[in-house]
Amino acid sequence: MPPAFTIKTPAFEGPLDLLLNLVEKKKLFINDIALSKVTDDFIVHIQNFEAMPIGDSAQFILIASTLLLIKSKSLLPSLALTEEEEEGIHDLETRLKIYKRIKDASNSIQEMFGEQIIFAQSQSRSIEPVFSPHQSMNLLSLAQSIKDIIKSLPKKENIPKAVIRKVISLEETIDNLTKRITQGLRMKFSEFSSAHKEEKVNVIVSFLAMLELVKQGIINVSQENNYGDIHMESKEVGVPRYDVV
Amino acid sequence: MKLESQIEALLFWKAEPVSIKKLTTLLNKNEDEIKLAIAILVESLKERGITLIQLENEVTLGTAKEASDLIKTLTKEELIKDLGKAGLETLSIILYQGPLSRAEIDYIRGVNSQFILRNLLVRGLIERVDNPKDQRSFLYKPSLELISYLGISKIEDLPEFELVKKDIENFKNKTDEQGNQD
Repeated sequence: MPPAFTIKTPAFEGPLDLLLNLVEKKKLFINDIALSKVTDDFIVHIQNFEAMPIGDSAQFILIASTLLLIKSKSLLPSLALTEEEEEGIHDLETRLKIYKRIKDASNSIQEMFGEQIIFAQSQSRSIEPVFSPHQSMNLLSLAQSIKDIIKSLPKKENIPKAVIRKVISLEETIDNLTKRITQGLRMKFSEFSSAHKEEKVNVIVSFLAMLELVKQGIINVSQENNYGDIHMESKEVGVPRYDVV
Repeated sequence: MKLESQIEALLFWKAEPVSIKKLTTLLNKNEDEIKLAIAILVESLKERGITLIQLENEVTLGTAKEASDLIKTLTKEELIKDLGKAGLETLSIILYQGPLSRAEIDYIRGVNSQFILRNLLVRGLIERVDNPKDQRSFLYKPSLELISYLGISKIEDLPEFELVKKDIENFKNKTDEQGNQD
């Protein structure tokens, strides 16, 4: 895995940045004499770079070679340079001058940036809904439409009212029931407890309930033989509950 | 109603950059008339709470730079002021020399500017437009947002704008002359 970041030991943005820094450190004007004087420093810096990106290193080396040419020329004035070489030297000077001018100007940009922001209107207008009715929409068709809508509206239905007649009163029902219970209660215990037979405890509770009724004198109980069914009946009437109420 | 007032009303209502060309058609005036009216409007907006920003052929209204601190307290978003060395350098080149191609930016900086340009594009500080001279490349120019971030009404208001341009032009010409002499 290549490292996600690289560390540039001296914080230079590029070869021109470095070159400019070296020239300014010596308080020189940008010209071929100045460049010849910083050549050695520049090359030392390149040598000290570790893990220089390939793309940038080419730039550094290109400029280093031009610097060496300048230095050679300054040491050997008789050295004849080709037109291309001459051009390269002037080009480097020009680039350095332009770079310096931009760098100087960038100081004020840095100071200005974000300081006195001119804010745009914060709520820009969203797309406006435009009313563009279809050609078929006119007064007549609109009138027809509203009529159609009214026609299709659900009609209010009159539900016929029915008077609830009194069939039987509550008092009568209670009396009836009391009668049924007092007259008609005659049943076997097995029937009585059958409703909740699935749990033994229910049968026990039913038996206790029966005993309580006996104790209160509401019912009589009889058992024909041991382990036989127990018959329960109300005291008042010993009639079976055949009668239909 | 005066033309400058009409433009003011229009820009206020639009609340977004409007091209001068659009203004000519909307207001049925020629470009010179519109530009003159804009100049009058700019003048009349001095000492006011709003200001006019223009970049190339677009104009829009914004809050006066003097109101910046006030508005900053109202905007919740964090304004990232740090551009970084590469960002600042590249922005300055685009501001003073733009629109220009990536190759031209690389030439001035001496390094590959691909990543920093992408970064600045994403931040909306610069714009990329087609290069009329070369279909295969693009030109980079400052965005209206960058101009407003710098608190200037137009690019010419940058410090030493004309001077920097002229100096750089001279450097270039001098090289050409020297190159020709040799």
